[in-house]
Amino acid sequence: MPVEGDLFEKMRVELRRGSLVLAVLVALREERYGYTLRQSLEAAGLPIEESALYPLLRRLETQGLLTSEWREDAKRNKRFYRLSADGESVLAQLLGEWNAISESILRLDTKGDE
Amino acid sequence: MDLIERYLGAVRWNLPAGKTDDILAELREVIESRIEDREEALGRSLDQREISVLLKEFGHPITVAGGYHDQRALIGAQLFPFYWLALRIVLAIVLVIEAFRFGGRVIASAAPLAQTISQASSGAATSLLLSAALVTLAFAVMERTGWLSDYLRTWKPESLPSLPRIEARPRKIGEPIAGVILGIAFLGWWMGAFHINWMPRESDVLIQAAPIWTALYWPVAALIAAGIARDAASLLVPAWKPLRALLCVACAAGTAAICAILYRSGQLATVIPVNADAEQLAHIQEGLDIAMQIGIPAIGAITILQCGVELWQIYRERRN
Repeated sequence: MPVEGDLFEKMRVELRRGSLVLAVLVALREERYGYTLRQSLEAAGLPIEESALYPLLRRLETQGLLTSEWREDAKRNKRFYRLSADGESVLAQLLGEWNAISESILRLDTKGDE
Repeated sequence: MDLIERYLGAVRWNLPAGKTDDILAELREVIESRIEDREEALGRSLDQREISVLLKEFGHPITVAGGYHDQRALIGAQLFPFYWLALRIVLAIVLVIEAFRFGGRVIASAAPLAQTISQASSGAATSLLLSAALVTLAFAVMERTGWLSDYLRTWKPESLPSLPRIEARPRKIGEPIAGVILGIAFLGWWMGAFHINWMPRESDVLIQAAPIWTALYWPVAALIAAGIARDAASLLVPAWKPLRALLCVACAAGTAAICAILYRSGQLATVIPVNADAEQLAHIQEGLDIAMQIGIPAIGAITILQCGVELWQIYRERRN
């Protein structure tokens, strides 16, 4: 039924929206510029629109979770991002939270099957 | 490349001030990287159409630029329930006030009826829109200032008002049954199916309907029929709420219009002498005219008010 499909899509987008911040932080443990970051997220099964990714990177940088610098790479100036020290600490907490949520849901799901 | 310049130019116009050049430099680099990748995959340069497709995939300039703003919603999800409640309350109050003003203007204005209705409708619509705009503006300011966060931190259950419990009104079938029976009887009398002698035999005067009633013969008949239909719909098809609401509004509007025409005509009835003298006659006529001056606007106002109450009840039925 199309309505159910739309509802699922809406819920799926909502679910992924929150997890994308975490995915970006994890991916930026290694220094990357925006274009390669997007490619690596897509390769990992987490595609993100450019119109969402670049403002998100700016916000995370303003919040002190990322650092960035312009550097020449392949004869072109690119802005490279990586996780800051504060970002590392927040990421560790977020991953802990993520794992706790995941385990809780799995536990609930297992109980439901019993 | 002209297309890319135009695209980035459009993004620039909507970016927050301060980091515009830095953001645009990054966006330009990303777009050029994407173009290079595609050209490498195709083994040739992209034409204008292909660049246009790529830029479209990148997103509308306003969407792209909008992502860089701190505030991305006029009223956020947290504040929205407060906004929606306030908007409904304010609009309901304004609607009641405007209904009275509308009725008053239609009945009392000396201008032609169509012109008065047009002016009154326009005034009511302006008031409603202005009220909605002011409430929206007030809540946009609250969103900006973070008022809600402060309120949600400090509110206490003890400070909540003690509101009456909302309960579904039991459906009364007596009212619509009585409405249908009385409506049919009234329509029968109006159409001349039977006659009632209102004046006592030994009366010194006769009271005759004013000439305006002849012109209103069919409008009044239609209004009575609409009233019967409204009560019948309430009785037989209570679930058809849009129809019931429509008939309710039609009856109220029809009553208000007829009241307006009667009020403007200046006379409901003419007193004809049988044994009375001129002074007595003038006295009775004056009494009738004063009763009309007060009674007709009152009937119009009460009808509009009743319609408002009925619409509210229909709305509440929908909620329950």
